[in-house]
Amino acid sequence: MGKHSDKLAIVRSLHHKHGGHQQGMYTSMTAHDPPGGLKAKNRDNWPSLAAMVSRFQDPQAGTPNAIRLPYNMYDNGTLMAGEYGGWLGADYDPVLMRTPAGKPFGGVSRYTSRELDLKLTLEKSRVLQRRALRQQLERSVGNETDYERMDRFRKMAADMLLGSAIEEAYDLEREDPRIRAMYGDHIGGQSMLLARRLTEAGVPVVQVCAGAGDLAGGGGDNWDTHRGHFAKLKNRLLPVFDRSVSALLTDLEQRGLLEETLVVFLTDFGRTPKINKNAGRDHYPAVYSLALAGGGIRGGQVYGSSDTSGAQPATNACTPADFHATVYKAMGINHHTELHDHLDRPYRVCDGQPLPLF
Amino acid sequence: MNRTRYLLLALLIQLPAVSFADDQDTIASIRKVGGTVRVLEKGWEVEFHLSGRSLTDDQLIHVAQLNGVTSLNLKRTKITSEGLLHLKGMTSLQLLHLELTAVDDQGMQHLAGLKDLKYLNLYGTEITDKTLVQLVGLKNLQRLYVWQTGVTDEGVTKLKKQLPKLQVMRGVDLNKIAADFPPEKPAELPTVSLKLIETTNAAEAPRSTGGDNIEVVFQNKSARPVKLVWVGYDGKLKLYGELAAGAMRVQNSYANNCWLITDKTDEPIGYFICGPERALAVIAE
Repeated sequence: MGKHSDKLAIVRSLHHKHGGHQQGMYTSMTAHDPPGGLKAKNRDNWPSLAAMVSRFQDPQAGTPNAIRLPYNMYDNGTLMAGEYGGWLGADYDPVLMRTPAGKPFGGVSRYTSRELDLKLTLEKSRVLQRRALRQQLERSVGNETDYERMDRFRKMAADMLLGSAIEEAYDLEREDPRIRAMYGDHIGGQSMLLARRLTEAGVPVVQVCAGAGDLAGGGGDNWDTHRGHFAKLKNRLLPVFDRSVSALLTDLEQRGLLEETLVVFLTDFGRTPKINKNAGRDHYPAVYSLALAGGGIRGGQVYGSSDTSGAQPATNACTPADFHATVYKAMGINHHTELHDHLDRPYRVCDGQPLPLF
Repeated sequence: MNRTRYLLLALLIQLPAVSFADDQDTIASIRKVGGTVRVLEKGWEVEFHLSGRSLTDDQLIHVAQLNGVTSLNLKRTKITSEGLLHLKGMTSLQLLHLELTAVDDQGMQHLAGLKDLKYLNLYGTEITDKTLVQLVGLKNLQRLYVWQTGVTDEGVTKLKKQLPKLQVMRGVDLNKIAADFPPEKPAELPTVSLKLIETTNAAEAPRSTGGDNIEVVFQNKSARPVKLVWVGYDGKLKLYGELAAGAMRVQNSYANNCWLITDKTDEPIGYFICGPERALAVIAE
């Protein structure tokens, strides 16, 4: 990944106040402080960055506004808050999709049987017949809002299955095997590859979870390195991350897509500057780093710094809201736009100030 | 000329509906053949790469009739070098996607007058160094994409002498990738083995206690599937999935952790206690 520093802007002075995974992830993903009694599925929650950006996109018919890969995030079996549509409503919940290839991350990842799997097991002609039959049956049904919403997603799923660009993108077997090898035969790499293919097929926003799906008390291949931090990074996490991210940046660049594609690296918080007795590093939101590439961001720069002990920002301290505002600016979205929830309450998209990274 | 200026003013206040009726007709024609038209800050963006891939050379005439197009995406469409003739007068173009189409050296003469062009994507086409020679007049060109084409090192060097600020993206050499990323060798089996302590009572499996990060390679040599259950630090059992008959799994774990093995109906078979190093855990019949 070092070879791609010319494309990266690394922000080293982020900070927030929430050291729990649920609260930290919510803060980082929504740029708002978590409410008390935070729950993942609460419609009063703030939308995730992916959901909010997707709110301003206008994809082709049959194309989801945003997709998440390859599973939900959990903390010890509890669904993690912050990656949903929140008050934007169900239309802007990013659609969860299963990555169809690659060795899994070690540890626990939870599939729910609700992930979209576009491998069609029925013959296409039979699906078309069934769809025609269903349409006849439905003519007599009323026009309730919930029903229409479900129908919208069902139509989208059918369109995706029946020969759309999304189905084509989902079929990783169509990719040049050499390109697949470049990303690595691991769900981390194949998810990055699928993300590239989905954006090429017109999906405006794709989010990839780059680790095991459940933190499982720090066990397994995730970034919660309370024990054996250095060995875990060196042997388990970084080989997959380094290879898949390098491949993604190389691939976007050679296809001429990096200028119009913004790559955003997010995390819940940083890790303590002090190493604990288990050679681990614990939760630390007081200063941490994130990175951006492509999408008009000037590469080869660092912004801000931490102090000599890595305890606090030393220069250009900034917040998740500032980072989000930077993303909105890169995406051409006015982050002061006012949106309304289903009760017509007004909300401003983002309260931060864009960082000077362009 | 005044007409164009009026249109641009309309664009600035983001009211494309105010543009002239004949523009509306042109836009309707573009949409009819699968194109999308959007208003950008400085002009129109026209795209065919998603729903307009059946676009042919003749249909490009509709795009040529729209004044002030700054961005045009023809990726994966059916256009050829002949169609590029229509682009000849589109001098406001700044960004042009022609990748993965049938265009070749023959069509490039038509691009020579596009003086504002900053971005030109020709990856995955039949072009060669003969194309590069024809691009030397595009003084504003900043990025040129020629991955998977017939362009050579020599051709690029010559072009860069004429346009020193131009970035030419050559991409990776696909034939070299196989050498750079050889298929991973299957991990060697650990030499240390853990002993299965047999029990039919799950309560006999002790709680895990903490230790260094290690790997356990579970190998199910029995003829039936088994379940891998981690005994938590609090004594709670956590299912880590099934291991089919004959299957193997490399599992991340820690020294002093306890793994309970059960059959498919959750009846305990026995448990393993991890040592301080990478180890093999065999479930025999």
